[in-house]
Amino acid sequence: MSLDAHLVVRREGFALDVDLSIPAGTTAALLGPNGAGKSTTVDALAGIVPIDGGRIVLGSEVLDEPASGVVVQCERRRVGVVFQRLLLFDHLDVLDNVAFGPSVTGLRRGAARAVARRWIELLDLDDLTDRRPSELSGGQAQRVALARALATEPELLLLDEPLASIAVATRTLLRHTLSDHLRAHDGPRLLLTHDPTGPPSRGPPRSSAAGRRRPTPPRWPAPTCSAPTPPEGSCASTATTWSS
Amino acid sequence: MTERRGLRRRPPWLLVAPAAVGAAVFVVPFVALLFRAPWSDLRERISSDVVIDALRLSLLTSVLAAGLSVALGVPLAWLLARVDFPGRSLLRALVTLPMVLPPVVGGAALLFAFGRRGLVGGPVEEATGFLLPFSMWGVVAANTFVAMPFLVVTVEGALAGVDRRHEQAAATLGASPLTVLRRVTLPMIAPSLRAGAVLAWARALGEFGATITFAGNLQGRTQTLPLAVFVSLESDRDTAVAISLVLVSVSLVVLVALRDRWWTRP
Repeated sequence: MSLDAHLVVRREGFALDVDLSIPAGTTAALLGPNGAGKSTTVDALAGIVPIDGGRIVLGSEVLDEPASGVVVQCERRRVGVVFQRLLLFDHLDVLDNVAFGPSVTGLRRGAARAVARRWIELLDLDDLTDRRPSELSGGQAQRVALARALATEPELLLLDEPLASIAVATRTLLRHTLSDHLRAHDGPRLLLTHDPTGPPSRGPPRSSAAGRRRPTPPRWPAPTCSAPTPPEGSCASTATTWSS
Repeated sequence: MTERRGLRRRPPWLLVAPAAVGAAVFVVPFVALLFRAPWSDLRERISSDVVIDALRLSLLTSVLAAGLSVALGVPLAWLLARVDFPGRSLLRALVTLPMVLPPVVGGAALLFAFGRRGLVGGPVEEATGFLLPFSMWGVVAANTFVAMPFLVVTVEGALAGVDRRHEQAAATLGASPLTVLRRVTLPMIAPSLRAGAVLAWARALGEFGATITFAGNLQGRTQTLPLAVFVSLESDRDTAVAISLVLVSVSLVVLVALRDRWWTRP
């Protein structure tokens, strides 16, 4: 199970062109400044927006290929997303947020909650099951969002600016726990960030898209490619992967 | 003492004066009604068959109309808010038309559509023998016609204000569009949905013009409370006032109870 994608999305005054190749069990990081198209990349892979060119292949399944007319609807893709704004459901408590995926994909309420409890336990959220999202700290909400995404057992996991909403002081700690939790997912993972200080202190030297140096594997995947926006406003990025 | 008084500012009279006049517009007629009420024999007057029949019919048809408005109006609001189709603006205007149209005109239009010789009513009667006007369901139809726009407008406005990213997040978790609406969107707009349903119910309870035009004024079958008030105003003013008091009490009790529980969020 790996991801092979060439995404072309055109908008007025904006063109996204990204090549992604992520083997199973590895995390790729896509680094770009705000407005470079990271969220569009997430939306295209998740099936929220269609691509205008290229193709998305996950494992052996083509998810989107304009040339052949093949497109798999968002709800049928096995793609889990932790959104930049997390987007937890405010009208549900933590347990039912995590149980949402399993229950809408066919499990009865009790069975869905049983699945949810497993992930809640795995992500140390036991004490928070009956809290509402508005009663959570940034770090807790982020773990709930991750648990909610993992509970659907996605084949591809997307993390959009996972640390953006977290206070700087707790980021380092969270980075470590998060990378531990990510091991629970054995498919390809894509991390999107604009934060050039993302990697831990012993992180690799920042390198250009061309430089595929392999530093010692960091605990938290480090972004390796920055994508400066060319004058005409198009962005071409390449993601590099490490096994972790 | 003076310092303390200085901290608590008086609301500007430029707002208080017109607000007081505005409040009087609502308060004075009800006070007049209370003054005019035949308190001595109120009990007998409001327990007559005519009033009991009208009250029962009014409650039943207004609740049915509110229910129909929700069942049909929510999908309609969703369509107007979320699907881009040709003629959407025109349909939106048509849906809100009953809010500005004189209800009598609406009742006449309903007759031309569902009456015995109506566009739809004729063929339907020939095929099934069912005739909508001058029946209880005619009252419900007239009520729904004038009440549903309030629900559609309220819910469509709420749908337009919903953060679509939450719906997209639900889709990535495997929810189909229908499931997203049921499990995410509607719970998110629940306060507006309730407010719209209450507005529709209140509008249906007070409906007069479309009802009398389309459904007639048959005691026990189509004579609702407003119609009973209208009839008694001609013959028996004290009874008219008594029925009006019943109508006011029922509306006030429901609106106050629902307002506290539903319209305001903690």
